[in-house]
Amino acid sequence: MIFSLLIYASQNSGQAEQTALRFSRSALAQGHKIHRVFFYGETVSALSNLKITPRDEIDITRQWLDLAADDDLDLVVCISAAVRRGVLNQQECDRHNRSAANLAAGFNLSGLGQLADAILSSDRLLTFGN
Amino acid sequence: MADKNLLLIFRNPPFADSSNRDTLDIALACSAFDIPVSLIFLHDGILQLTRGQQSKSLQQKNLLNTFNALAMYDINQLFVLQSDLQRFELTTADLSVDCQAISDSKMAQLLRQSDRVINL
Amino acid sequence: MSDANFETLHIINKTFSNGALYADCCKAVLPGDAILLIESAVYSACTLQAAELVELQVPLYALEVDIQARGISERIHSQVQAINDDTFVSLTCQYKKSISWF
Repeated sequence: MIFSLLIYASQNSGQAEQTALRFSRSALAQGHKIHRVFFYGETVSALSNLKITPRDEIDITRQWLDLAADDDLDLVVCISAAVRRGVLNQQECDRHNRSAANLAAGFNLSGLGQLADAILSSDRLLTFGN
Repeated sequence: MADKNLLLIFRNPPFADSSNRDTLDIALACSAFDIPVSLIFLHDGILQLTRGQQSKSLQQKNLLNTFNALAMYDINQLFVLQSDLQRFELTTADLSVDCQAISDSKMAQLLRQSDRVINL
Repeated sequence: MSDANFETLHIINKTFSNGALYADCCKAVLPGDAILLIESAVYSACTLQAAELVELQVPLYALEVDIQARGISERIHSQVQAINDDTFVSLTCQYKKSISWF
């Protein structure tokens, strides 16, 4: 089975991303594929590499990257959601003449077309939100 | 046409959060990929469509302009519930966008017939 | 690829206090569907509140990890099946699609 995930949550409230991560680990362990994880809305605020996670808390962004490294996940961040929240890759940083790029390495900015493609290319689409 | 259709659910009133705008953006993007898109407005979602909104005073973009332009993107299937119209003492004439008013059971059928449902 | 025998898996993650959310979801539920309670929604698996969902006469599931985290294992309605993450994944395969209510 090929899954895609739509994440529409805030890392600072609720547990949607933890649930999505556990779901992803379990799906991959069972031999399913995850075509894409699409980060949308408030979720993208937490994908800045300037974020400091308190020592006694879990860095969820780090956990996505660890999972992606193990299983070659396509972590796509909605570009319009990211730019309006000040989460920029180098290209957007240059385009908008900002002082620094801050999108966490391992995540790719792209358009909503990537969500449309995920819908078409996957057997299942799961939304995790709050 | 793509082999999957998509139903988008709107459940929030205007100006409350970004979910209506974000859902609308998904509609436009998926339509550009030839995915047949339908929209349904549940509960407070119907308030997004009422006539007479003057969002300029809030210095916010009015999504109604985009809702009214959906036909240009071949998005013509917009649904509201008769029960929600009654709840807010509205008729379809009070809505600034052409919608079909359907029963609760028709709504359940619509959700069943949809291949993918996004509900932000 | 689809080995689904069942229709829609409705996934709820808010408590029963979100009346409109539950009302909309319950209107949408048809025979052949199921409801999965996750995160804060596992409180709705407790006896009194679950009774309303039981009336829908569809399978009811709740995520075990969320039940345990909230210390409510003893209060889960007998008609609600507690499941682990692996079964969560299996359910999403068995049902043609999922709808998240949050």
